[in-house]
Amino acid sequence: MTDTLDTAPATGLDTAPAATGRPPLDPPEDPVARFLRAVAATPGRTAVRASGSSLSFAELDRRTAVLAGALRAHGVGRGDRVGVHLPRTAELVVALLAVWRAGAAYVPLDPAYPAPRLALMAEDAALALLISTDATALALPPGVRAVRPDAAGTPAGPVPGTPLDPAYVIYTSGSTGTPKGVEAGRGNVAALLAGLERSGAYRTEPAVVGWNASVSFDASVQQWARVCRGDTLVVLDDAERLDPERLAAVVARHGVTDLDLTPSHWELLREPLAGARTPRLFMGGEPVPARTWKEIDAAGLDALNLYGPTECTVDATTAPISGPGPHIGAPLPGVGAHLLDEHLRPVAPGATGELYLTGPGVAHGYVRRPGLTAGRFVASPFAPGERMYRTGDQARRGPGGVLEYAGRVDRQVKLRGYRIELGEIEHALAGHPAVAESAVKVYEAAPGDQRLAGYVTAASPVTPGELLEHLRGQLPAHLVPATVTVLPAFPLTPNGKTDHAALPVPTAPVADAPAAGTDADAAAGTDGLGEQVAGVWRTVLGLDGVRPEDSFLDLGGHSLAALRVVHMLRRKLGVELQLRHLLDAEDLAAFTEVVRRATLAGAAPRPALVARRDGTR
Amino acid sequence: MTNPFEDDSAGYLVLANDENQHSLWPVWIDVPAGWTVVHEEDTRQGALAYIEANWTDIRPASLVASLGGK
Repeated sequence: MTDTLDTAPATGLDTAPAATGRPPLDPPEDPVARFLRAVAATPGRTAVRASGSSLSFAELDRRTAVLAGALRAHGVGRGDRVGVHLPRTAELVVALLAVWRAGAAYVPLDPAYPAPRLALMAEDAALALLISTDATALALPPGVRAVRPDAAGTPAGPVPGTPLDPAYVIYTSGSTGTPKGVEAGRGNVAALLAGLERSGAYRTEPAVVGWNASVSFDASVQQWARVCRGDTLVVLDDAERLDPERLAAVVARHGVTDLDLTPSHWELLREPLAGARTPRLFMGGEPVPARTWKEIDAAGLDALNLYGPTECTVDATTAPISGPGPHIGAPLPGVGAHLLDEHLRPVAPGATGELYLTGPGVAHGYVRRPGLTAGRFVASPFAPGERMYRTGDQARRGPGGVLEYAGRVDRQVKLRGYRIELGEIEHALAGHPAVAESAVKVYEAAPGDQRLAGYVTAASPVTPGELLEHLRGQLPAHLVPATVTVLPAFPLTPNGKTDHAALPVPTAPVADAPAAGTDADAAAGTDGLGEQVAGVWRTVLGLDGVRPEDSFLDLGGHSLAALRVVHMLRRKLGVELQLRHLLDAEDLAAFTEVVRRATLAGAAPRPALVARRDGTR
Repeated sequence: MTNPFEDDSAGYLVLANDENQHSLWPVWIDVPAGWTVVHEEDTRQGALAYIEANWTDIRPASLVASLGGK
């Protein structure tokens, strides 16, 4: 029995999910060629909207031609890599597209990442040039020059290349302590766009795409690259991404029809977003919880579950979120999804196997990591001379042949959409001179709120605060644990390995028993306000007690948790609070003071979008 | 279930295809069509060391050629 045959017609999402990939596509058109066609077809149509600026297709064409000319004047061409270190503005789109026009590949360098991390990526990728408005923030390798995104150049036509020409290098967490750069080709991106079109995920009429994912993550590719097919991009800045009310307002104002997000993010956005004009949701980055699936199905929202590792160029399978689930659906056209046993034989129908992927999305591999590449991108028994990617994900076929995700074979975890190798954090902890041994695990601090917990045994005296500071200096925020606990010794399994399950769940410092407070007195006066605010912190952080001198971040608060706090207080008290009020406040006492002032300033008008919720949920 | 590519006590080959892309390969599984053995049975570590030493550019050979070795 072969696992690759499929006769279902590729007519879109309404057909029964296929067990494996539909027939391969004709070679799909290069994204830059598509972009030039879109420019010719609709020069006046809006290509990019961002806070404060917008560009038509003709303007985006001109801007990218000029910047590509500047890149070429600096010697950039095919086979080169160009770092892109920019905030989320229209210029980010100009830069990414200009790099492709110049024939090169881009390497996203998120300005929010710690400088040592960016320096490591810049060095590993052997950048030819950097595009930045703030190049001094980066320690560039010797000889690497920087240009601004508005650099003047002689407008340049696109450099012709091949589908194998690299399109980008995106770094993911690496289990041995250093991030690894996945290099994907222009043909991989072309196949992604064509596959999503053929599967029905992208509608044929021009869409307005809310670009939400960070450019550091590959989910961003299937959002921003849509400008190449003539869609309008709405670049959501960080304030909009993290503030549900603002995001909902932007979606409504610009008529966003398509929005990508993680299921964790949806939990926070669902109330402000759900309504008559909810865009089509592209969910990915982590498994969709059963509860979320049911809720979306029951509400009749237009939503897709997208599954795929970075190594297979963003998306490998799609499923409409409706009917029984959760599941990850069927492969995109041309993609093969093989469930194999330890002899690389297809497992019996219904049995769980490791998922191997073949087809036009399989990327080149890991930059400068031949051994790692050869162990993950392996020879495929299913097509002569081709490779298949070993995902490390387990899956089985459910009713109708849909693929159901069934966990990892290793220690990679997904938290709030971020792909995290616990080994990388352990390695960073072990890099502190006072640390003898290190371990990291995931625990559930409150229902639905998963956190990272770090553990060390000390070689010399060290505090959790010092260790967290050490980690924040090297790792992006999503890799920094909520807590680090110093233990006298690690619990061991019978065969002498660290027993991760037996590591104690972290306990936060417990304050005096809180006084009772009610919702009623808080809105009216200020006496119960402190307890109101403390109560929200406890709920969101899953703690028994919090103290006035506690800092939200030190208690393990992350940006999505902060968003929940602000959201809950707005609804409880009807005050106008911003996320930065919480993130800027030194401790609970200071934040309470901010809330108190906001309360005295008077209740904010309730955002119009809140009303819409009542009719639909 | 042990993944066949992750067994430190087993023997491995190194394969290459027409694009000079290399693959670790478990010695107990048939070599797929379109691949050539470029390093005979070795330990996992030995096979990986061979790959690191001999496949220094992970890009497809036809791409490297069209870039003039850049």
